[in-house]
Amino acid sequence: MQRRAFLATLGALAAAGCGGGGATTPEGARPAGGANARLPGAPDDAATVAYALRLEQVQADLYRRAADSGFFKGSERALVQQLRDEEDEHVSTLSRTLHRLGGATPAPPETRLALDDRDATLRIAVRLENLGAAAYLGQLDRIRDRGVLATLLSIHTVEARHATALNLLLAKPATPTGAFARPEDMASVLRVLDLYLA
Amino acid sequence: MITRRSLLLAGTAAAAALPLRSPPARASAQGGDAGALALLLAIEHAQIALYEHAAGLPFHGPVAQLAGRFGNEERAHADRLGQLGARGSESAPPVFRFTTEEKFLRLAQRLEGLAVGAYNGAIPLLTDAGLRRATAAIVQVEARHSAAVRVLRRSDPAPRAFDRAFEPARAERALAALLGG
Repeated sequence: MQRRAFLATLGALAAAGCGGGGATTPEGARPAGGANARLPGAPDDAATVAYALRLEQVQADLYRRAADSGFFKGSERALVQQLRDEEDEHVSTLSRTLHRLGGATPAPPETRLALDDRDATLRIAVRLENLGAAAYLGQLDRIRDRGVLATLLSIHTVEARHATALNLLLAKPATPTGAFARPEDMASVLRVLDLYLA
Repeated sequence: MITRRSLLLAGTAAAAALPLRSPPARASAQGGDAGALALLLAIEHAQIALYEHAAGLPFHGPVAQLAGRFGNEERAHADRLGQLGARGSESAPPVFRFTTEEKFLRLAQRLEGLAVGAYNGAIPLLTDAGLRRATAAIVQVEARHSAAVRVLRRSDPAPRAFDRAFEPARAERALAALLGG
């Protein structure tokens, strides 16, 4: 699926608020406003997994390029390589999950990542990792299939680990939003992601 | 895996870092959402005790900052779980005896890793969507704590591509073992 078609599909779903912030939750959500409110997202598990997969594909491409860039040496290079490998595993697992749910794995998108030097690369990486963690968090309570939820949870916390490692590398706080992580809705995430797609 | 027994066998120096007693209640015995929340609250209380003990020691720099900040965040987690209906045990909280930064960070790594696994195991079992949403916002912070402690220990911040999920009974046993039960 081409970038614009993919974004248009997901963006339209998010903008339409399919099951969005004001939607009722059959389980009866606890009173919780602001960051705790259910956020707009995809209409079903397959669409949510496709959304997560797109994020992971961009991250994997970032780290593949970063690992080959020559900007990183020693322990930093080892970290970049590890992040690359783990994002590749996320891509593989999400692709299999999407297939199981009846969806087709989209081709990796063409990225537009300005990896000019070490600092520029790390700035993009830390933004995408924190964005990714917030993106997963924004969708977790929408998942209907318990197995899919377990998979996304297990990736969500690893994205948070990645974000933290990079935050600390850039002298940023480990927990930038304090005691509670803040979710991000799908439309907002896609707007940021679009900055990095060709 | 390091257990209290193996540490005792290995020598008193290592055992001195462990808590004096093992307080975790049979949280999972409550079952359902209440049982899951009780277990998560017990883990938060253990973390609070850990960081409070560390904050009272003459640690410096990043380790002292971490103990203060993460301790405050664990207290906020416990408060939130209480607001969500979690009920803790009436047992006294664990009392830690470590005196060095190295032993503190080793325990913190184990406890934060346990927290991530316990939340990831409990969340899919919660029947209330609001509870899943609230606890997911906490587990991400636990993962960040875990990674930060690992970085301080010069350990791998993300040792596997997929974090583990512990079903509640397993998490409860792991907590008891960590606290010396």
